Amino acid sequence: MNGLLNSFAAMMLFTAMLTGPLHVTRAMADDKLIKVSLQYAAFAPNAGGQITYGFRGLRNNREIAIFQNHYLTAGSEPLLGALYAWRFPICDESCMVHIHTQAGVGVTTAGPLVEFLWGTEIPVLPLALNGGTIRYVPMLRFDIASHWIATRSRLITWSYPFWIGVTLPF
Amino acid sequence: MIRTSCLIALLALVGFSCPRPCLAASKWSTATYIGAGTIQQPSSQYFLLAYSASVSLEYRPAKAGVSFVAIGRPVYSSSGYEDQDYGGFAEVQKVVAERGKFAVGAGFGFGQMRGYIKSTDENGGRSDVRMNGPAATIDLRYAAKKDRSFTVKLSHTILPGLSTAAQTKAWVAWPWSVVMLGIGYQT
Repeated sequence: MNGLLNSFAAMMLFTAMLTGPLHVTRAMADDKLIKVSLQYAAFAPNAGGQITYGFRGLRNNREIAIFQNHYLTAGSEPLLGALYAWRFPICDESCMVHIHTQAGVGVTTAGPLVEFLWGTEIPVLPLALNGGTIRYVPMLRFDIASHWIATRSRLITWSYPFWIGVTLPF
Repeated sequence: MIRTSCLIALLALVGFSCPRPCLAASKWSTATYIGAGTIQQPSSQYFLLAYSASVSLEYRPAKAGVSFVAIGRPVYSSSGYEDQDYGGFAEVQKVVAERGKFAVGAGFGFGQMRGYIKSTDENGGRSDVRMNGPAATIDLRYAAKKDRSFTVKLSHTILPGLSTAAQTKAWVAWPWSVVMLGIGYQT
């Protein structure tokens, strides 16, 4: 038990040492923080989930993204898309866990796209204990996304439950 | 036991002895919505008619609160089979953007969806499904009256149902997608 407590204390000390130089003020976070996210895969109604690569960049609560879904195809190729989204923070950069929702529009190789997304970003190190997103500290990103694509013949919807990725704020 | 009783008594005392103006009623509002729209079963591209009802409690200064939503769709019968989906979820909701009479709300929570399909034959079988999962909602609200007592709300909810532990380990989820147009009254 003592060993565990000592380990915890050491981790907190280490955290405190790191958070000093890396601390970011809320104003910096709100005005100038840039986030880049890489997404890999999401759950799906089949074993193995769906391989869906995503690359997203965020600044001033505006996000641009490109993605490729290997589960869905347009023609015989994996679905490819790009979008522009507006982010609405529910718990902003000053929170330990950043929670947001987004609405976006874009295009895919199957047709125009509308995206609704709910996301959570969690620092991989407990550095955020002092409050807020810290630059250069990676965050795990978990999204639930809903895509509405107007194809030539019909409107299709597709969900990305627990779309998993990593975010780097800087 | 005694502590619990004291706590309940204290809450009752505070609740019932306080004169009405001091209940800070203006800081809290309740709302009730009914709606109709579509529901999509997991991995289905059919838009099925659905309906919903919800009640919510909001703390006005934070524009945030909790919402309890029940959704369902009528029984559909065809070719000797009938099926139905229904469920509900609870969410923490917050207004995340506001301009004039319009507002955007977002919600996170947890819920359960149920459904069945059964043969209408006399000795026909029945298959039930019941899944828990997170619920996420985004909505667009329009305050039809100046005092915001009457609101029209267009919402979109995703509820990815998680089945067995084995399925979850295999990255399997069954998302229900719901779109509702509702009208509501807020006190």
